[in-house]
Amino acid sequence: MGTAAPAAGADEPPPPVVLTPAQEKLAAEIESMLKCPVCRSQSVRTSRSFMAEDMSRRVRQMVAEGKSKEEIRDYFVARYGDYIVLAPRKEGFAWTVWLLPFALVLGGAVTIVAVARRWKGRPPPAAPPPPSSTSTWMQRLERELEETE
Amino acid sequence: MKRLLVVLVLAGVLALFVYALSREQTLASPLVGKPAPAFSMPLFAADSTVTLEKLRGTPVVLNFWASWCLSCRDEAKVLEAGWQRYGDDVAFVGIAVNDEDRPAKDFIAQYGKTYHLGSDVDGSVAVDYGLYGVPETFFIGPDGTILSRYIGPLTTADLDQRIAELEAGVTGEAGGDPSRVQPLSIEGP
Repeated sequence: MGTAAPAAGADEPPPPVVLTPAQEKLAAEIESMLKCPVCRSQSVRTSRSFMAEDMSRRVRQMVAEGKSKEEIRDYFVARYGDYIVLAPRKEGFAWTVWLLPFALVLGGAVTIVAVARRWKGRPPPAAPPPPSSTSTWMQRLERELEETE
Repeated sequence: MKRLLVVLVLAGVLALFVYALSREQTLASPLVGKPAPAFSMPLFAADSTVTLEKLRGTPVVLNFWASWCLSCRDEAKVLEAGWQRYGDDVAFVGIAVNDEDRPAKDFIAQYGKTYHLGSDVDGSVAVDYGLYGVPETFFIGPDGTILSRYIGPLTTADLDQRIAELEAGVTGEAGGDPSRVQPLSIEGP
């Protein structure tokens, strides 16, 4: 599949792949779907790395050849593995990635409701006892008042 | 019982996160055990082209490198010495990636490299092989099947071991040192 440039080490950039507007749209969609393998959470479409540029060129070449979105996706997965696709397929073990966030939110909501109910069912805490007139301080106060009278 | 269930669920979530984080660091290539992508590459040294098809019947050491890559300097002499040692029994091919003509040729002269050396100017071969960075080396059997990938600079011992596996037709374990690969993340103009 790969053919390097016509002259070894030629510094001229490779010619751009010209596409129709519909093909441009498809290429953009595929580039947004693919992860730039050497970047942090960036798609081939948004990254400006050389690697992403090379991948973008390959996407455009394949689109120009009439390859489908699935065929192009399979081409990259066959070389980099499943992780090259930003959104994993909705099949098999990959379903976990789609369902786990919902399961976690649901589990969190159930836990919050359960804890709230438990708190609601508890008796209110007992009020602190009223100050006793027999406390040492009160006894002293009363004694001193009596003495002044 | 409830606590055990909570611990199990948390452990499961943690395991999924660890799996998700670790799979990007994997050394394994999905291409191992599959036919090597074909390529046709003009050579620096001569007015000729090397193709994978022409090398069919001979084990191939396919090395991706760049003159700007520091780790590539460490393995440059290892590869040249390997080529001298194995002669025609093993084909050595070096593909310069994201490199320019002058620095690549200077690098070749500096390290006295004499095997098949060319440039992947449009990056197509790099993408075909699912490259992350340089150096990366693919070991291709005489029938054109990729038997292993090594990432990071090769040592003489690693090279000899991989070539022994190539000659025996054995699929090798993924190996190398990912921390010494320089990713192709340099930004374009």
